[in-house]
Amino acid sequence: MASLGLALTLKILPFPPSIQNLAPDWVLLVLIYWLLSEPHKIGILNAFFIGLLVDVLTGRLLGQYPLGYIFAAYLCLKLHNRLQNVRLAQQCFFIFLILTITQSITLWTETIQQSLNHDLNFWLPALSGTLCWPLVKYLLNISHRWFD
Amino acid sequence: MLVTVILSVSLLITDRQSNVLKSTRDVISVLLYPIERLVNLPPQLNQTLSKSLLSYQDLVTENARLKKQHFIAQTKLLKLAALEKENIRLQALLGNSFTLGEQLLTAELLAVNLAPYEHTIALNKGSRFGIHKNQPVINIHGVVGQVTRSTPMRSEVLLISDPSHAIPVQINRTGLHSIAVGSGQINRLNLPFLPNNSDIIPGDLLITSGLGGTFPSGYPVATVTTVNPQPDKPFAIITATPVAQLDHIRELLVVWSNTTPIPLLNETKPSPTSNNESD
Repeated sequence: MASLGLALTLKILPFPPSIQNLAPDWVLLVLIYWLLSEPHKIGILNAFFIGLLVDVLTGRLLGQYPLGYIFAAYLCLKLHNRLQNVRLAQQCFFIFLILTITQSITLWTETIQQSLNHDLNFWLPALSGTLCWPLVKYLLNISHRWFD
Repeated sequence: MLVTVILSVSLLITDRQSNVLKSTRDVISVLLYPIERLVNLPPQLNQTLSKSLLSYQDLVTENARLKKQHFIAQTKLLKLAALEKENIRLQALLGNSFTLGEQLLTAELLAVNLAPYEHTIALNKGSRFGIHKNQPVINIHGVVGQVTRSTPMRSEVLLISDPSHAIPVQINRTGLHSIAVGSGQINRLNLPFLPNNSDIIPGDLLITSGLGGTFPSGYPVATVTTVNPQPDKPFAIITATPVAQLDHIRELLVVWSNTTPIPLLNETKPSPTSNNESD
């Protein structure tokens, strides 16, 4: 819960414009961590409501983030047995796939709102999110063990 | 899975088409208010600290400077009142109605980042103060943008530099009308609809024309920087820089425009006379 709050804070934390495009979707990363480690407690419905929070916080149309997060959650729940037993590099590859799929759903919903000509930079959060994944996983693992 | 997908798609469509979900958004935004405060805390703290650590000497000099500025502004304002009256009289001679007078509310920028690909900012005041959609937002230099959404505690403002934003403008020197479209760069606007032979030179001030009804007329928007006629194309490439310094803004004003026109010659024609005339 606290980690999600922190991720929401990070999501709207202002950075210099040059780094802004690079910033990964922290909320999604934290959500994926919890989906993989506690698949029986956290489900698709949780992903939906967290997506709603992000929508309001960042001023999107309601339903835009939930749609992406639902697909991410679905994939995580389908794959979590396999993902637990593979090496970190392989896991990162799966995370990259999930993030890219979510990002492409975001692209589609953005074009509903307004026609924007996104360049390749639009896909950077998926890449940076993958690179941040080991760090997020490590930090959340520590805090998870601490509270258990 | 399927249920939530259908739910979120229908949410998307509903939110796009109508205003029904505003109350839902309001409730969630109030719940998330602490997070916004938290993000906004460091800049606010910084401001408070720099305020309380000012030396006495600095305060005295600043006070003297501000007093002088205030004095000059007041003197200019005296003349403005006379000009305003004269303008109303002249407009009445032409048979035009005339609207003047806007209500202002100061608001501060919330240091939050909404979406990396849009030029949107958040203000610390929302519908609790009566701020509503499509209200113009200005600062002391010129036009900043317009309100796109307001929740009880905050409102979201689309800057004039956003690619999806266009503002009707007028060249102050000649009165030529055009439209300034955002370019996606914070310090540039494009004027894509002016022909090659139009009378416009770098340095011209663009002011709001009041067409379209969102922005009241007469506020400065931008200064023209480059004019490149394109002999083989119908329109010239003209760029302008917003005068509001969109990347340095902190304090803003939200405008309520007065839409009811001032009646013609209201001081010379009290109501009884007009009654007699109609008789």
